[in-house]
Amino acid sequence: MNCTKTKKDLVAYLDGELADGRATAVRDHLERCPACRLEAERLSASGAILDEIADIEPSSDFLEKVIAGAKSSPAPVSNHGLLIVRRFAAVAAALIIIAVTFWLAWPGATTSEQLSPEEQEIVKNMEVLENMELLENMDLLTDLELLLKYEEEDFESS
Amino acid sequence: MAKPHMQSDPDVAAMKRLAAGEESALAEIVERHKKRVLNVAYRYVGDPVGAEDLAQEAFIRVFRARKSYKPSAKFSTWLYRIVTNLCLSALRKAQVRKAFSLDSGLESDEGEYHTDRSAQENDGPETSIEREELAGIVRSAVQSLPENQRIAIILNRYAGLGYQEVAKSMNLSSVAIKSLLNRARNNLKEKLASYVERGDLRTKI
Repeated sequence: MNCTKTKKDLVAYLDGELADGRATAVRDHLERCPACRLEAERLSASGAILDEIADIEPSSDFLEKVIAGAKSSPAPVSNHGLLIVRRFAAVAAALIIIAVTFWLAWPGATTSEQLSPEEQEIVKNMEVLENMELLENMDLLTDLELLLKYEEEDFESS
Repeated sequence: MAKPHMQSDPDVAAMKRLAAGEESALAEIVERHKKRVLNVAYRYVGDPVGAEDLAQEAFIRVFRARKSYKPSAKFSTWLYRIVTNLCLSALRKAQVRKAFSLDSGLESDEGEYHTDRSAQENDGPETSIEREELAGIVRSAVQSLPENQRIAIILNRYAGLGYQEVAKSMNLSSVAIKSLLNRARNNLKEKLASYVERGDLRTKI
């Protein structure tokens, strides 16, 4: 094993993560190579320095706070429950899309040929209703002339 | 057939009991993992108060996911994936806050907080100050690593996960983790070179 390959394996070797055969090859190289041995020492020392950050201790009420937080959690949904909800949502969405598509594509049902007798009567009387609104808002004394003119025009056009 | 780690992993058994409604199993899991989870969070965010909140939230998430937990991997792999996601999310939110305010966010100095002083009880004040200074330098060095290298170092070094577990936690291959940790450790070696050269820190392999 040469220096380049050894350097790639050094950290894993120091961490005990190399397979036996490879670890043996690294160890043999380190015995023969002072430069790689020095490199391994520095890596090992810098690794040890990582432990210089002192641990902190959990608070005395750590568990109580976790339990309080857990008790205020919503009821868990299992994977199976989530799957059912997702499938239901997908089916509902599909049905809505189909319904809207049909509604948009459906031929209009409001042509005059298809009106019932009652509906036709309503349409006919709508003109009367429009005039009624006009009449209710008129001052009869001042707008009588306009009203008479309006009736004449209607008569002539009918 | 259950994998050997599932048969012997007390956490897997505790999660099964928790999923079945036995709430005392949560206390068992918390007591077993709280210190390490807290200190992993601390390595991520650098703030003891923030780390405590995140650590508690991690266990609350474990509780919420109790019915969907599948022991296909070691419990610790799954747990530290939750911790990592929570911490990275918190760090990103803190970065956004920093951009719009003077608040130094989660990566500020911890101020007063109780630490594990057992390693320091026999030290004189001078050594204690040096140790605190070195701890600050190490924290900065770890924080300055690229994100993936930092995550890999924290999971491997502080959560105690082996390369394969780190790979599963990070959804990367073992080869990728080996490369990440190699680069991370070499980066740290360069950043801490002047401290490594001190005679009292040299380590024989």
